[in-house]
Amino acid sequence: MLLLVSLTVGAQEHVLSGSIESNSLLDLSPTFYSNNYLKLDYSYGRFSAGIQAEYYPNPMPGYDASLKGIGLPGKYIAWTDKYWNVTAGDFYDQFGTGIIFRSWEDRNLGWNNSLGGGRIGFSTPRDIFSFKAVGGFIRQFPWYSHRSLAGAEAALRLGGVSVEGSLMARMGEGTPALWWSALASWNKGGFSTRAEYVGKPGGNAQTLELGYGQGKFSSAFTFRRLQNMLDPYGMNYLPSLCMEQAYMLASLNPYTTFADGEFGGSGDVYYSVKSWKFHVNGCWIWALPSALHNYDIMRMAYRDINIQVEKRWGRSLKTVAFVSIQENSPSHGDRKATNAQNVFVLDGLYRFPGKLSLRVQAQYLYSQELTRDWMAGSVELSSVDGWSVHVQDMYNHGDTKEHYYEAGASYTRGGFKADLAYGHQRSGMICSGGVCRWQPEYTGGILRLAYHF
Amino acid sequence: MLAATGASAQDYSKVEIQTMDGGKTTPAQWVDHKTPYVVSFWFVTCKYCIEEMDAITEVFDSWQEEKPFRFIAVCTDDTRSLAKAKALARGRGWDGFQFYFDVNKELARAMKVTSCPYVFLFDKDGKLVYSHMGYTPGDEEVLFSKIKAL
Repeated sequence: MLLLVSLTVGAQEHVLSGSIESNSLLDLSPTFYSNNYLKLDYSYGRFSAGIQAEYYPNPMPGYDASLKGIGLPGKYIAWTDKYWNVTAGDFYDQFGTGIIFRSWEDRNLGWNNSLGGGRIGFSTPRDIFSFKAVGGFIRQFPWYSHRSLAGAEAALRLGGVSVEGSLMARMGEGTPALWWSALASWNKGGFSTRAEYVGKPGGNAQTLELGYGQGKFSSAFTFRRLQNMLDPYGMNYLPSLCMEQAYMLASLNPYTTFADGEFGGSGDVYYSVKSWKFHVNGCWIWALPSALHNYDIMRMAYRDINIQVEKRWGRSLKTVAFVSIQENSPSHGDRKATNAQNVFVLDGLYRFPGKLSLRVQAQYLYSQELTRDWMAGSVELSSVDGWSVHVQDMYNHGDTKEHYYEAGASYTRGGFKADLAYGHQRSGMICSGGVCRWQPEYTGGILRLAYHF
Repeated sequence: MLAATGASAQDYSKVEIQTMDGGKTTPAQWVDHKTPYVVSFWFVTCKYCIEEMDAITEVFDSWQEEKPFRFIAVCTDDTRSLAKAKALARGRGWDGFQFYFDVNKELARAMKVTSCPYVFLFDKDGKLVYSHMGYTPGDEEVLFSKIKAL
């Protein structure tokens, strides 16, 4: 349970809350790796302040080795009233869809590009007009880099229509660069649409989203074109348009955005009727000619189609059948060779009378490229009391004949979670929110602890 | 004197997140002094989040007759997944819920949510009375027992 330490003084209340997170690995070499975070926030009326301390005696495999050490990279004070807010210190924010600017944190990826500086925001009653300005230096653990950003965004909302415009200057690497964006959105009934244009010196990006829903049918489509949108400051957000796969074998070869130049679209259709639920997703990405060395026409960089059918068989049993057909070009379309794989999954969840439930998965990947065929399976037994145990194995029976296995147990109670596992982890891309990082291979025991108070 | 209590969470009550139509809302606006409410953090590729919301959807109407409460689903996906999250919610028949979007995880960070699903139960006056991380079938019944106790 989340506990807030509080002290009431008159009509105001002091509130202190915090979280501790620790992720550690002991591999067979033996080497000890550990990432640790402490976050504390305090508020009193309109005033708030907080810190985030981080300690990496030896950063976990796949994380930036320069993180090693201890630091206080997050610290802020803020003042907020009904219409105004002011922050001094380290903060996260984004303009538009994040293509022009996004500062954010994802501990699974080891990503944190907070800004250290100031932010001021204003909005009118009913939020018809809002404005914010930000400026600061980019985090470089445990302090700041010499690179900085400064920009502003204004938004006007009337009924279901809104328009936004923003400017962002990047400074510290040669000539300062000014990026700009315009965004418009419209919602009416079951229909929604949003369009954004982002420009930068020598590059631009366009995004169009369409959504429609009626009853228990719904659909969403996104189209995006990127031309030379790499940001040496690492402050633009360009996640993959394609579906982030949840199953082990379907996520072996994920698509990552080709910021040099791509055009593509993805679509989702959902429908449910009685105890059945259907989801169809497709994604098709082409590399732009300007980003290719060997071709002067658009070339396929990635495509997939995913079909999921769920069926609930009474109160106790649910099953999922999933198929993913994928083809990707490792050269982002610059050479002819592509890799194709077809993934098939059966997934079941059974709830026993009482507190226990059992999840079982069987997966198969068929391919004639890379390391060819894989199979995988997992079993998880969990209890409403908070206990859970699991075993899983992923086996390449195509070329390498190698097993990647894990067995573990976890316990959750309120805001506390402990997770202990031992396994052999495959090297590959780890993705979160459409952004990926490289994970090296390792064998060892992992302990994850999280506590929120 | 400092005391450990399930106090009203003023440190995150002013954090602004997006509404379905692109407007803004804050947790302070969710207190109606009439009914308790559940705040559930989720994202579109979170299998356990979807299982939990499906399970609550199946019993939501009958539970409303027994003890009225509101269910506020806060999506932590980035803006790219907004349209997809709306489509998923409609397509899975999550009709009785209120949907908001924490596109840069400002509220999740303020409420110390580092993994999903994560549910918080507040009484009718906005006082936090229960929270739970993760989902196992049956957790929704524990949650409803806490709601009925209010």
